Amino acid sequence: MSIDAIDRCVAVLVGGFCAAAIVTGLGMRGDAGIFPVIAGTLGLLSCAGIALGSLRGRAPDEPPAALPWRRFLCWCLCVLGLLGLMVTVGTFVALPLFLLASLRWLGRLRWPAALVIAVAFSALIYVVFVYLLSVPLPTNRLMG
Amino acid sequence: MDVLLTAFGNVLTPMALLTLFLGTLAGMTIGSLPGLSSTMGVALCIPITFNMPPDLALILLGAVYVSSVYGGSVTAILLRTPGTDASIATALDGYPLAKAGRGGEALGMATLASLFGGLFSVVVLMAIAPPLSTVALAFGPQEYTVLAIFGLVTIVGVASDRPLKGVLSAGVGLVMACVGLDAFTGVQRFTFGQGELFEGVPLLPVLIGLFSVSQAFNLCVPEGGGVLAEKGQPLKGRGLPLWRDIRRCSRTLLRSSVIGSVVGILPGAGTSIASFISYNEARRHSPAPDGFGKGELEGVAASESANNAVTGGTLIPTLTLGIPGNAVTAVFVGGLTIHGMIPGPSLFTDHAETTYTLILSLLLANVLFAALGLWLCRYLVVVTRVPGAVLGPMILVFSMIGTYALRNEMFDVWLAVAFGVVGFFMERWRYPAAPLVIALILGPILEVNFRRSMQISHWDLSTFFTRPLSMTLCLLVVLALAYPLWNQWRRRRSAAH
Repeated sequence: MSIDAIDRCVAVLVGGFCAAAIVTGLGMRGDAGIFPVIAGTLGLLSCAGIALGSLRGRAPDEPPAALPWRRFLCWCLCVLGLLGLMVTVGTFVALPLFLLASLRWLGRLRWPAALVIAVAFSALIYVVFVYLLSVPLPTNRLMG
Repeated sequence: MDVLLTAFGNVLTPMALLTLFLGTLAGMTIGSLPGLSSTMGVALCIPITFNMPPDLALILLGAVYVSSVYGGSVTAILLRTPGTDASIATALDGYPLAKAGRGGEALGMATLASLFGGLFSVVVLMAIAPPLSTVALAFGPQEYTVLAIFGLVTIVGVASDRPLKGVLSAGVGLVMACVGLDAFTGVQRFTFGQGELFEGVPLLPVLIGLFSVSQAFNLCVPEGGGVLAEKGQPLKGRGLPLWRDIRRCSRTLLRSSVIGSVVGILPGAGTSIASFISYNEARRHSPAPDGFGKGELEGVAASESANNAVTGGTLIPTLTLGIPGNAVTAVFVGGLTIHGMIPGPSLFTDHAETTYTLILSLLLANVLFAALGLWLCRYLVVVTRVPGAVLGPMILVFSMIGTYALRNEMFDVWLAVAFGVVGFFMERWRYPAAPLVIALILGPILEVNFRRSMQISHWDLSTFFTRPLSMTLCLLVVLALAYPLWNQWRRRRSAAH
């Protein structure tokens, strides 16, 4: 997909979002809506400018490098897994698992290296955030 | 003079020097971690100071404050993960330099610029604090409105070579800044009933998402990705910038330090405005403005000297008038009060020795972080050689835990991850993220002061042009808008000839 086509899609999408902000702002009580209307109008005008600019015949921009979708989805799954595990089995089970999985499958490290880095880094996080800064990180909710 | 000598004696005791060293090291570490801001660093140190004598307590707080602002530049340059909004402008040129294998030079320049800006602002604090603070008091809602507009115009101009994309990014940021309970009418705006959004979209999760989490995606997703542009690329020589480069940046350093000190005095204006205004000014005065954003040492120098000059600037109204200029100095006021010192003119009379001890310790903390920074930068730069798929998960983990630590809310972590994905695609599609974050910071300042101005003037827009300070700032806005257009016209004309 060319940058111009992407710009048109972004302009339509964000333009809709800005238009919704304007409409909602106009219905607000008192002068509470004035700033959403101003900000939305600014956004809408720039969307119109970007859309018109993308239709003008000028030298096309270099398209972005192709996205490796498999790696992207794999990474997203790892991140979602980390978030889900943090609140269910606790931060210090989720962190080493996430690091191990991503270092092994995305970083292509050998199991022992990945394991050492995952455990050492989780220990560092524990020392900095739990021991030194006393941050109450999410713990095992399943075990109460 | 006696007071100054006594203060010198206080700062140079072994215990004071040890406190200074530990505070500086802690501040540098805190500043470099995404999510841990200067405010948090100073706040975390306050309980430690309970049992300390006042002068040692203030030395610790001062050292953490100034060195945490510098600490943000290290990760902003090497990994493009600015710890705080103060370092966003630094990443614009610092990261391209690191990608080109010149991270050592960029770090060296950032350290020297931070040192210069920090020392300059402390000298300003010592010399002309009281008269400058009265100028800050002359700033009313009209001036703040125009200053916020000036900040936005500047940032849109510097953040992208496609200004319209910058405007769109800022527009979205301004709409997001409307989220939350309206301070004037109590109306809920775009909260969708979510309690977490009543106070507005939290800034730091958005900042961490757009810069740090998106960078983790950038490093992990491409096969064989990394900080260095090419695999196996050598790190180019120097850990320090050349004397020639430092001399070339000397005017920028001075100009940015003045801007940083002045902006620091204005309550609420903040380090990010100072660094972006300075960055823009450096680009405007540069003989090669096209190099900015692609790896120009002068850009790093401008941003870093300005954000460190803010530290002394913010302490001017705090110490002389008792008005904290930002969140860090508000926490600082708490620290002073705990030790029985009420911020205001009495600090320079009743507690003069302790106050000057604090000011001198800021001076020493600047020298200390610079020495540590210059020594460490040749080693820190090695991090750019670590493969992206190894660095990425670590950045993500630090970002997520740092985000959670802010309010202990998983909502913030989800928000950071969502903005991480948005930031990843914004970068791919060449939409600058900096205007969005800065608009989110400046939006509330702009709205509150605009509405106050309108209430005072009964909706008469000429109020912005009838006050001398506001009028001057309006002229600066016009200049900031007109200059790029004039420059473009001049370049086209010379190309035609």
